[in-house]
Amino acid sequence: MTDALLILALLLAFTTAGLYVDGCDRLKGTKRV
Amino acid sequence: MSLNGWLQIVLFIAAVLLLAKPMGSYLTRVFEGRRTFLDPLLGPCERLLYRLTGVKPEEEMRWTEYAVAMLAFSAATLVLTYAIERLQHLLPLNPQHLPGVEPALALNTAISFTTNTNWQSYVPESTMSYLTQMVGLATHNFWSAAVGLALAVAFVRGIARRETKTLGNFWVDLTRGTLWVLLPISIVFALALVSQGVVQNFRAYDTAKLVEPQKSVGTDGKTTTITTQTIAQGPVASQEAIKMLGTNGGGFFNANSAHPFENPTPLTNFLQMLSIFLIPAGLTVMLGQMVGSPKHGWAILAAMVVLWFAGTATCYWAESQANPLLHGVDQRASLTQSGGNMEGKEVRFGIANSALFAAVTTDASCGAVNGMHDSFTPLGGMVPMVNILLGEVVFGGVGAGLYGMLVFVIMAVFIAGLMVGRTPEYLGKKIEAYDIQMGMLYLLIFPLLILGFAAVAVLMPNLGLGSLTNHGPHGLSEILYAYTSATGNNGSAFAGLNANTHWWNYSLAIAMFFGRFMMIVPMLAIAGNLAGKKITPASAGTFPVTTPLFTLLLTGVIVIVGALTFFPALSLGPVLEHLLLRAGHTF
Repeated sequence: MTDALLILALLLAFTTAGLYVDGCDRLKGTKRV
Repeated sequence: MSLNGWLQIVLFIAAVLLLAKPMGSYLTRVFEGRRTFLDPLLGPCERLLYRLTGVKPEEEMRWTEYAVAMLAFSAATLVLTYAIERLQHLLPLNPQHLPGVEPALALNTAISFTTNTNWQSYVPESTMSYLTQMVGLATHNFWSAAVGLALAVAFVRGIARRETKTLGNFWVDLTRGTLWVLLPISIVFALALVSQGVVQNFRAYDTAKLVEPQKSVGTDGKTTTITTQTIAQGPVASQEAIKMLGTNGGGFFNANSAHPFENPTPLTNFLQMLSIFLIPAGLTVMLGQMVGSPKHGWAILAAMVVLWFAGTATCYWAESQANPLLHGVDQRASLTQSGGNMEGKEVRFGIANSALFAAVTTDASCGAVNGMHDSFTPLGGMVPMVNILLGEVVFGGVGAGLYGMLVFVIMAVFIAGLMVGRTPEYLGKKIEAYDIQMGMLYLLIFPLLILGFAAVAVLMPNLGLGSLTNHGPHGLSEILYAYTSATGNNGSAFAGLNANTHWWNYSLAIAMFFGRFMMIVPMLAIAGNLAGKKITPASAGTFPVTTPLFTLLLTGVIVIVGALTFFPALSLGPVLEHLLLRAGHTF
């Protein structure tokens, strides 16, 4: 059970990192007035 | 300090500088896909790997694709290592019949080796089987270093290319870095280590009968007589070579490079230090060659050498001083003793080589140790910590050092641009808001993790403080060092605290994970953005990045960012401890 939770947490962390990539990419188009 | 010590330090840096150009030229050939003398042997292996994995080497990747491929590779290899650790009692090559590793420790170790940190909250010889050390950990020594190399090459391509969206192919860079750079050098280096006495076998541990039985008093007050000693061994040389070359640092034994089976002679000590700086120094030359400005590569290498020398000289001076609290003891250097602070140091390496090793291993994000940093004088111990706090850019980890340094270069040219009121340019590319936003993100994540986690550990007596064996400013240094080492992906320990608890295992794992991947992403974003830019011809107002003035500005930016961010914490730790030691207090 602990193993499953930890591996799930790891996959979640890497998914977050993937979203972070997307966020940094989107920031490029952002212009502030 | 002695002339002999200084000569050894000069000899070391001379060897690094002599090897930088051949290493750099070789790296350029490898990553530009040009012919090398290893092609007949490795070319078929490379093509076979691509066929087996379905990789199309001609396909180029945008920075986002490059980042996602790197994350996917790291995730898969991390889970594999975790599984090997947990299941090692069921797997072969476990002659000591060691049990599976406990979940929190297995997670910490898997993240540690995936992120090139190699922080070890465990005693390797009594925790990890030979299979775990080889398949779970040593392979990560290759992979994490190859990932760093690939990322640095991607950044350099971002600078060198113009009006393109791509940075290369992650899988190709990973494969070529492993096959052409890390594997061949590691094989030669491992054989050299074996020739000097580093062990390489699969035998079960030996038991030796002590000539003089030792009495030991336990925590319960009972006295035990010890009559035997277990001699741990295993496939050490093969792991040792890549441990140093890949700036990984995770020891096969708990004593790391202070153990005679890992680092038996002054020659192996010299080669180990040299191999830590070999690739990072070569990468600066590769940068100069790939961007068409060799002098720029040398200017960056010069900044690294200046910062390395400042740390080494300070550490050597501090460790050569006598301990003021030891009265009536001869602590002067003489023909029969090193003098100075020899606590926690190997007599076969002495003060100079212990101070040099400490500076080298923390300038680069290696983390191997041949002396115990916790036993250094307060100022001597502050040097390894400051080296990491500067961002692991003084030579730095394989690849990670160069791309970290390039973020500082962009900051330096930005500041130079502000000073003269002109749009900053770097090698003909205009540095714009997005580059600075990503650069600042890269620079701010680092102190946020270190100071944030250290503050929580200090404020939670049951979590952080409970693991300390020293209190006062030295205890703060131990906590600060642990998070600095983890976030900087260095992996060396100040020791003095029991890190194998749930709090330390999980919090350090988070620090290592975010310290690696959350910093890589904005760095790649800068690279991707730079690759798409046009080249602006240099004019009279362009700030040159090949001069001593540039080296000075770059060094200043690195020191000021590090000093301003961390000076308050350092003043409460090692600086205060130094002052209190002079006043007669120890911790």
